[in-house]
Amino acid sequence: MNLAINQSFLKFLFTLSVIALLAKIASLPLYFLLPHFGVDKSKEYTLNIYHKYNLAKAFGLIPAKSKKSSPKKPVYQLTNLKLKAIYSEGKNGVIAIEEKGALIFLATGETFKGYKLIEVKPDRAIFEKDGKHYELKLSDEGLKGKYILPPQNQAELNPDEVRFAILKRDIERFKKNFNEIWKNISLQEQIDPKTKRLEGFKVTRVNKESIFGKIGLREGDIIIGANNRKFRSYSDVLKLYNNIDKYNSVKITIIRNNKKKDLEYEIY
Amino acid sequence: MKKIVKWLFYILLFVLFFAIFMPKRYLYYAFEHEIKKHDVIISDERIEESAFSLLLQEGTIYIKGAEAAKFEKTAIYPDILVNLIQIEKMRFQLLPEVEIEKILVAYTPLYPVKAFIKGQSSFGPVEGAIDLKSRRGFIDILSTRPIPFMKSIEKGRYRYEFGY
Repeated sequence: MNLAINQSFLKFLFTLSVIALLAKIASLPLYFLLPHFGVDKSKEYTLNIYHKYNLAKAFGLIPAKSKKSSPKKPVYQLTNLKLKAIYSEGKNGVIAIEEKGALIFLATGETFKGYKLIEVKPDRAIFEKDGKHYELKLSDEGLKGKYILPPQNQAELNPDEVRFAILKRDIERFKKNFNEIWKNISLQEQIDPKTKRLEGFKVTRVNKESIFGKIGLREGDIIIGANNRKFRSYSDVLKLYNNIDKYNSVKITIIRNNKKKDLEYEIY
Repeated sequence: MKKIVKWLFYILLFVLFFAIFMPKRYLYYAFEHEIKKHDVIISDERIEESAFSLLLQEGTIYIKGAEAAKFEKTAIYPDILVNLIQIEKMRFQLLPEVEIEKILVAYTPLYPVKAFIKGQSSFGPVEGAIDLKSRRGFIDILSTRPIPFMKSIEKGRYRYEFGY
């Protein structure tokens, strides 16, 4: 009796082993056919050889430039400038000055025609040149501490292409605290019912006092693209978001009241 | 009849052993190469292989070079009859308010046209499906609160549709 049980048990074990062996043999080709390494996102390195080694210079083909001390020319009077907007935090900030109808954005530490912006106060900007300090007051008292230009001034410059200044540190703050974005703005994706493709993102809510309100976004705007490229998928948005700190300026294209409009942002 | 049951049992055993012996890590690598063609990369994950599953821990998903999502744990159960992927604690870069607590994607070659999705998110239950024929899919979140970037298809149901 025991012998019979043992025999049937051994037979079962043998069958089990055969099946296991067959399964192993069946899986063996996979070891040879499948790749033995995965895919990882590698860091992107770029090497600009030209900047590292200037061969012409190394072989003496280009004579080394001797530094010439050029006399400084008194080229600009501060009275010719108009201070149009200020954004300040402590002593640092960004200002917008108007020169010949064009807007120029300056951050503290930057130089414009020899005048170095050293301090931004709520109502004035302080420049330094040749050890002397120069003051430039806001051209309009009502513009104190504004982040953006008032709409009437924007319209004067170019109604379809409005430029704003954004501080890099604000972008970094939002990149670190992503949730803060959604506290101030709500977006709803717009899908083309025919093609089922993404058309853009509709601003359904925006806090006017937040940076999003101040950089010109309004309820009902449809953001359709950035930097002259249309958003075709979420990955396009992600790409912009992930690389935003690498740009010096960003142009966002929106549809407002069925009219295409560009909002341009200089990043400081 | 007895013979048929016996053979069915043997086939099941074969499937079981095949699942144990198949090189799950290499299968996953092949999957990674395949999704890379669509500009999707799963990176930085720790891979642990067990008898029946492949465990990926703390990975980041990149779409077209941009970081799209992070997950804490993903368990893949490859098999001949049923394939399961269970993802835990997944966060999307673009939807930080939505955290996927647990989601299960199931696929069986017995019904090869669809993969099914079921799970739980910080907003509520998740349901969805991927139509492998038309290469389109959707994920519905049943929520009482509105969800950014997701369109409401009916009261309390927000949908995200995608194609690949």
